[in-house]
Amino acid sequence: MVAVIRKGRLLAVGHPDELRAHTGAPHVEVAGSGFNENALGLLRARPEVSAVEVQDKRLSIQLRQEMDVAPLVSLMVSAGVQVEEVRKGKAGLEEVFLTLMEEER
Amino acid sequence: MTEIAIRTENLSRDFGSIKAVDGLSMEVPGGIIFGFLGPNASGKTTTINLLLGLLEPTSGRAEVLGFDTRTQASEIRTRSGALLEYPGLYEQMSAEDNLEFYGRVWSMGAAERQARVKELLAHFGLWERRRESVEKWSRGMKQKLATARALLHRPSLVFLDEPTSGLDVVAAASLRDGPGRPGCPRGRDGILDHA
Repeated sequence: MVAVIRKGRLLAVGHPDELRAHTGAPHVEVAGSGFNENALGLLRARPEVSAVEVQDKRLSIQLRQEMDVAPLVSLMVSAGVQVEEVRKGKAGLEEVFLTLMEEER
Repeated sequence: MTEIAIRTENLSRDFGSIKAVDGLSMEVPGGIIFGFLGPNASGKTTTINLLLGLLEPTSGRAEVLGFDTRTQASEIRTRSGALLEYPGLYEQMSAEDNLEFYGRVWSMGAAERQARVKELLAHFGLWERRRESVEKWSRGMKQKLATARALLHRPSLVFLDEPTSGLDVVAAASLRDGPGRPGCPRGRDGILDHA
């Protein structure tokens, strides 16, 4: 279990997975090329996707909830993206902590 | 073992106008590792010191292993091990003698003491250097020895304040493996402070 504390006040207590689920949205990192506007637009139109961002040859997809990412990969491939690698990630405890800090402000 | 290892109710501690701990209410079940996450000066160390009875609360109360921190602090400290902000080792003494000394303080029998000292020094990779005085040791080695000391008397509850501070990656991993391994028998509790 983890307790998050700030200025002497308890912000949250729980299992790290619970805190991640509550405060840190899951995300998907995609390495590849051909991240064209059409593919990005299709991804942004998906209800499960909250944000899409391209940096260099990596695409970061923020999800609203845990989901099977295969449909997203298929969508990208059909839109001409060359996918090299896909990695699902959870928020780290540092990210959880920062989110709680933001909520507190 | 009590079902709830730590219980705090509106626990608060002020230092002048600064509220170091502000109305902390929580219950920590026994048999788990519990970590405090927060930035510097968020009240983590103060909370540990309150739970060990080293500081008195300004208001509110806390129980550790069923004992009140204000009135039964010695009962808590007898049953707890602690790695606090400073290792507090006897620098002129060898690593082995440090642990031997504390083993005697805890009234451990000679055979048990020697076996436990060897077990912990070996676990933390310090056995080969057990006869060196610790004054020239690195911060990480002292941290490991101080952690071994916290675990020496097989406490029911272990408080580790910034336990991996100053440790390299390998040493930090060895410490993370420690509480559930030879360092601390299964079913024991731990509370960790980590910024």
